[in-house]
Amino acid sequence: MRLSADQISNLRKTVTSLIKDVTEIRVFGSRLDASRKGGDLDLVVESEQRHGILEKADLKIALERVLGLPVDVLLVTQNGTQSVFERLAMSKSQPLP
Amino acid sequence: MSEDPLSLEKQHLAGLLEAIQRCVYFLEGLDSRLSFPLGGDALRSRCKDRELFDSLAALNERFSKLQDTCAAVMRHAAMLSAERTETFLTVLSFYEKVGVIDSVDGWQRVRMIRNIASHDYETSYDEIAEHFNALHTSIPQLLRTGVKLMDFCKQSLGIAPNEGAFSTDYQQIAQRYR
Repeated sequence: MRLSADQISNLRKTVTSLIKDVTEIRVFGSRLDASRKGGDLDLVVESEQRHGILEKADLKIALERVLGLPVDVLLVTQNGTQSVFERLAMSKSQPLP
Repeated sequence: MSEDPLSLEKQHLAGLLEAIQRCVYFLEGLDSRLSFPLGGDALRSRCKDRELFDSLAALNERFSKLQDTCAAVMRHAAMLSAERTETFLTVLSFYEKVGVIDSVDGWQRVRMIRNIASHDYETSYDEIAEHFNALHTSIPQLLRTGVKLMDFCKQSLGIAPNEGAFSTDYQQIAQRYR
């Protein structure tokens, strides 16, 4: 996973400060490919309760500010119905260490 | 003889201000014709209603157009005000200071809501409804920014929009957002 220890720590702090009931943070996409450079950070943030578009906007702004790179976030609900894309992202993701 | 670049900048800004008038007129008009809040079930039951979905697509487009035009005006007006313009964040901080925007975070949040929707164009009617409800809730804030920006340009730079077809309608709408 192409994230530094500092980035991982800041990422976790930022997510948990904004999404209080987070159950898991996972990474998917190009940041899992060691042969690539740069690129966006694609995250799946799983929580107990559903969070809406306003919370997603606040989370993206906070993460992009603290990490200094473009971030895409999928917010999914533990035990909730997931779209095909969300299931696909989950299937290709790894938990944040 | 070459034209004075400063004069051209001012003419360009006047044209952008006219564009804001037009955007405000169409966005406010469209938003007031739609019924909010939208519900996922209602959208699902009207999933082939071209008039409704054309209107929602237009709302997206007009919202984006107004926000982009405001951003262009902010850059040009800050430059003409001899303010720092090296990043857009610097520009936004200036407009927060002079009261054109409520806060830098507020502006970025509205932009993020719009960007999320353009990236994740959902097939879930609940999420489509949520997106348009969030846009609708953000429209007064965006219209207020447009109006305050126009006022700033007039008061601080002495630059008003080119006179055009939307001037009178714009003034009527603007009174409600000052």
